[in-house]
Amino acid sequence: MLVSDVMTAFPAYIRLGATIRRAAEMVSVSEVGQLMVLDHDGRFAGSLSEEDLVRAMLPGFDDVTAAGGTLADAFRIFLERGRALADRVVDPLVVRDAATVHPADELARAAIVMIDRGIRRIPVVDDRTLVGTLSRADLCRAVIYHS
Amino acid sequence: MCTLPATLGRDTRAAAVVLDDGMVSRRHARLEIVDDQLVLTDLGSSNGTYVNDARVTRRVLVPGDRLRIGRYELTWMFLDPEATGLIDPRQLTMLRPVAPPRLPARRVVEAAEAHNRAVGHELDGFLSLAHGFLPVEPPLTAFPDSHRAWDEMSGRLPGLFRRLSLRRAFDAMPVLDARPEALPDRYLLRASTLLGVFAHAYQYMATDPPAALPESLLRPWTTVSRRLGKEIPAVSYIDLFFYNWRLRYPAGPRALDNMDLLVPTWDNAAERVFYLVTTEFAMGLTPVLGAMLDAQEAVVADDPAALEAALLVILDRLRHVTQAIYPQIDPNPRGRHPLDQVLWAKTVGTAGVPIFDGAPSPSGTAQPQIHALDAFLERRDYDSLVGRQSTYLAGFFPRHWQELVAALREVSVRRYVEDTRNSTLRGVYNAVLDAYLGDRGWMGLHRVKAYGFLEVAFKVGRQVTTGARFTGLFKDRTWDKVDGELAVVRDERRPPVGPPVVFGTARRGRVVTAESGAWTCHLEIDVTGQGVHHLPGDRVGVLAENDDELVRRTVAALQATGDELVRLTPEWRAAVACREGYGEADVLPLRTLLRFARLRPIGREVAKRLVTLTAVGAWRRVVDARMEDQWELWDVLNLLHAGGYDVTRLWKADPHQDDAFCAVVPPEPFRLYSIASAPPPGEPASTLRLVVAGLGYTSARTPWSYPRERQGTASHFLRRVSAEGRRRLSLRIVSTPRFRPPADPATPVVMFAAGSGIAPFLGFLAARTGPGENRLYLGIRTPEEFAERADLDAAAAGGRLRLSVAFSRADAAIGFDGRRHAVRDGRRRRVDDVIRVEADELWELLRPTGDGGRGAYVYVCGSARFAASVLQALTGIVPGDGREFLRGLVADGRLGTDVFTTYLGHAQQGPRFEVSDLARHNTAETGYWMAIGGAVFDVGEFLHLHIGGPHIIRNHAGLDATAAYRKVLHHAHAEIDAQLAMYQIGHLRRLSFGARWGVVLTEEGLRALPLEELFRAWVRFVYLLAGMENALTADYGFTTAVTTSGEDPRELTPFKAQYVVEAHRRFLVSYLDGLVHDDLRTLWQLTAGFCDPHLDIRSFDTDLAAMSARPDTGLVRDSVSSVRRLLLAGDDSGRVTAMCRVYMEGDVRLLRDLKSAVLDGVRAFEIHEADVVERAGATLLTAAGDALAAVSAYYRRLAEQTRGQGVSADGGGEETIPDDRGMPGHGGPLPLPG
Repeated sequence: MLVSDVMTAFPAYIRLGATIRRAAEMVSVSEVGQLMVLDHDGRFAGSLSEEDLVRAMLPGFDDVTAAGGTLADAFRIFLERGRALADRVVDPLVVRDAATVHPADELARAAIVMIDRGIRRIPVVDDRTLVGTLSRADLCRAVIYHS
Repeated sequence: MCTLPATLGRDTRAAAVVLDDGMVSRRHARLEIVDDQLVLTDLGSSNGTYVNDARVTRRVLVPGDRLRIGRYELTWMFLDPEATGLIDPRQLTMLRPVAPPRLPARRVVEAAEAHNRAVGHELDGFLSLAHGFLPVEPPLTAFPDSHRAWDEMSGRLPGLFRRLSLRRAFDAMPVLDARPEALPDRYLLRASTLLGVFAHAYQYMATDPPAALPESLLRPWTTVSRRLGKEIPAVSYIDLFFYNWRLRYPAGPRALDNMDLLVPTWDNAAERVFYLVTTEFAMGLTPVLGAMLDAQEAVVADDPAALEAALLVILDRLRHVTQAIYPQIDPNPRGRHPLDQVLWAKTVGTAGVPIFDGAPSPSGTAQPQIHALDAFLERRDYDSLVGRQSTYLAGFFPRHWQELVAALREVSVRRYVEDTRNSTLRGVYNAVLDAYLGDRGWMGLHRVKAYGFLEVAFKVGRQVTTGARFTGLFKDRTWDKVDGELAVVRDERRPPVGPPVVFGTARRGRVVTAESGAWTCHLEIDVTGQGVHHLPGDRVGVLAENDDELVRRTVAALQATGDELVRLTPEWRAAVACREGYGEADVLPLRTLLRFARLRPIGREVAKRLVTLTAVGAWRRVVDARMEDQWELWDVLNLLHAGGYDVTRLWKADPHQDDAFCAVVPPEPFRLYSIASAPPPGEPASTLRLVVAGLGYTSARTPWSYPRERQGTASHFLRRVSAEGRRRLSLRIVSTPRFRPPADPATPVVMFAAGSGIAPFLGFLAARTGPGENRLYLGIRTPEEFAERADLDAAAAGGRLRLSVAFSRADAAIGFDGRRHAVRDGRRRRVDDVIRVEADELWELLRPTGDGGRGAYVYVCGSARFAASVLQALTGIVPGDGREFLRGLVADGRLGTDVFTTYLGHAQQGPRFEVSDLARHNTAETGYWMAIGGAVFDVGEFLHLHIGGPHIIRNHAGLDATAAYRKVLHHAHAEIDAQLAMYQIGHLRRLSFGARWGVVLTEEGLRALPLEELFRAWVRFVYLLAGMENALTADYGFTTAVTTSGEDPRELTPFKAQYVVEAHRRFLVSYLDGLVHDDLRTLWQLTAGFCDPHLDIRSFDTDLAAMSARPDTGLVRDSVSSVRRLLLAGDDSGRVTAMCRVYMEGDVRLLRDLKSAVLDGVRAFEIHEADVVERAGATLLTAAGDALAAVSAYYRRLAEQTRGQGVSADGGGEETIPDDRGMPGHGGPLPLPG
């Protein structure tokens, strides 16, 4: 079975230059943890995960001590950062060297790279064009449920 | 005989000495006297004339020179016809070709003997068959008058040390001439020893080093060293050991009891015992030199019988030095030659560290006899740190030693043993290797002993070894690194030979079964021709095989057919190679693999591996409850399969993968049984008798296990084998040096045995045919279990044995009618009841001979519970302090215990203890407890009995000692591990934290931490404190030792005072700073995160900074150097003594206060467990805060007392610790002048 047989053909995506607020909106509306990112020419540029969005809000040790030094301060900074991040562009958070699969790849090939590298949703790319995504759920559905 | 001049050659007419060899020219060489010298001239021969293997044309000969012409080696002798009438001058010259060729090593030894005799000194190296690597002439005890000043100084060293006035004395000593015209060669070795010891005493008298050595030492020491071929002056192994002894009675033996140090430094017990035992060790190995030569000659001559005889000499000597001489280094304070490890660490331990950079050290790796053995046994390589050091030091050997070591490498005994495939030789050769390298052999014992000494030493401030550079601080556990190195070195020594097993054939045995179903099997194994030389009391390890039924179940549980091929890991290959016929196997069918695998019970490590691999919750809960030992592999596999784990992975995976069967399940180990027989002295055993008790039990019905019949693997295997009566068995002889009959056959022996514990005593009785009385007290349950034995009947009939049997479950007794032992009426009782009844009689036997008693040796063999009951009863027969009597018995080596595990199901029952209970028990007042593998032991009495001495036990009291226990392989030695059960009082309770977690802020950022981790951090901190308390107690305990001869131990001499000051400084820097800035800070951070989100994480740092900035703190830290200056000035000892007391009391109290604060926190965990944060978060924070407050109070208190003594910081500031080589305060090495 090939990747193109089971992939999600119309993935959620945003473009470089979009705001983080827009990315957060996409994440919440699409209920997809991994957004695909296209460049200004519509070519595949990379991906952006909700995990990276959340991580960007978490303060480091020095951030906390600079703002009072208590855990309560840490929790406050977290919220403040979320607000501050909202209007910035997503570009710095985009992972640009993301692993991809080809639509004609064997499913198992995709499964292996996903498990090995802890990828939940992998971009399906054909000649720099995003043609879909393949999630772990897609794999389970196609290979186990429909077998 | 011929007269000179004489011609040597092949021509019968032209030559006076005719050599019949085609390689010899007709007129080959001439011998003549020229100017009173014997001259050899080559007469233009074709193939040359050789002297000492160098081709010569003309050469003046000296005694000891070796002439070689063609195949002939010529020895010659000068005869003065006026002086001797023994030899007839008309006798003709006799020559024969060198056949067989002279053994290279033999040539070296003979040449060395001849050379040393001829030159009249032994400067080129001690080497002789009679004295091995030791001097033929005992070391000189005095110089000529011209150098009397040195002699006089040597007697004053201890006093000078005590008062710290040694440097002044040497500064004032005259500079004596050490050039050849003033000091003849024969005094060189004495001068070297004396001056070396002086120089080191000068260097290491005070904890801070001198700027340079005084002229009175440096100049003669340099001269003497250069004359001995040493470029850099350094103390050699010869200086410190081989030329540093004298006999009390010159006609007496060269043994510790008859020796004194020639040049003692402190002249304390540690120095005397440590140096002299090392010397006696070399003395004990003397016959090995000749035996090595004999062995190699036997190989050349292809004479297996001679080789066996020579190897047996080596085996005997190795056993002797390991089991009789080396143990004289005895840390037991009640021992005959007690050697306190702390005293050793602070005095002898570092005394040999070279003064000058790049100088060789007198470390143990410089022992010539070890180098010779390594060469003889073909040590594999020298690549490790210690190995390289060893090669480096051998480069400084005197000439004879270097030549010998090289020559010993020329003949391979190993290859001969391998090639001849002679099972006797192989058995003896392996026994030699085992006696040298085995866990219980010399290197194994050395490793354990060194570990104990170094651990104690490093904990009291020593941070360097004499040899390779191992340096480190308290937390670095340097002794572990040294130990790791020693393990590598031992491995390097092992030559590539086959596995150390012998093969025996089982004979048909008999099984005695009691009504209850309990059985005992009496089994014989034929080991004829296997070269088995064991001693009474030794054990034999048996490699068992699992039965077909268990294998079948396991194959089924693995969902396999059994025919699958499984590749072996290296560990498995080594184990399988011990089984006959499987020498080269690296693949086995699964069924065979399972026959050889350890399938029951499940060990802790296997259990944990399966938890990691499978993540099956049901199994994890079993392991958390420590109930894995109620399971066998097959039922675990069934459980794991039910939990979703693919059990076929185990046999499908490659051997290097974590889930491969061979990586998960270990091979069946050798199971040990006492040998119930003994061969005649000096002869190999032909039969090994065993008494094997059947092991069977039902696993417990608990939430984590279910009831099922379980069997002991080895006992049932041996029963099957004894029924078949022809099975080949893989065996390994395991020596038990602490469980031997007394050397003197007249000494009476009292033996206590339970059940199959009778086995070693049957061996004792077979060996003890002398006049000594033998008493055997045997405890068994019922008369059916009493097996009649012809050997017991014969011993009793011969008047050698009195047997007393106590039946615990039947009203019966055993009587002896002059021929046989038979059951008759009696009352049920236990062995300890019998002891109480016969108390007076036993006391007569056991009382020391010095006290009018008969000095009997006592042995106990049985389960832990039996051994404990016997020892308890024995304390009762003694008038006065019974426990003290037992301690003395152990120290005298008169009590042997051989405890075996009788598995009776899981011991989850019994009291549970908390960590806070454990941590409190590390003082004389509270008693001493320790935890090993989750169980709690009261070691208060055991610390007096521990072979490694009380320091090591105290060091681990009040904490979890599992790692240390395993490090010295105690867990792997059944005879040691089983003794633990005698002292077990319960288990550590496992707290339950569910899945609770919290958020913490650390330098690494925000993290979610399981509550269990927070608890562990607290426990680690408490254990660290307990460990520091223990170390500090040992450290300051030094003040009560006799450190130099002739001192009153109660006096705080300047020498001891400097160590108090040093220990205190180390306490501040090495203990306290790390504790507060590191461990306590982390603990506080984590706790704050869990307990109070509104706490500023920096407040601890703020408090800490405030504390450090306080003048009190500054005074405490900066005044140590003032006290040290006062001490060295030597004019206000009252104040110095007072400050020492302040330091000792203050430091000890601080640790106590810290522990008490932290224990409040630990107890909160123990009370509230998962709810601790909600219910007692404030308690935890307060406890952490109290800990810091205790440090604050410490500084305040100490500052007050410092001011009270009128001591100030006097501007010096806190001394920076010099970039040291590890010795407390002892800076770097001196630069070599000029």
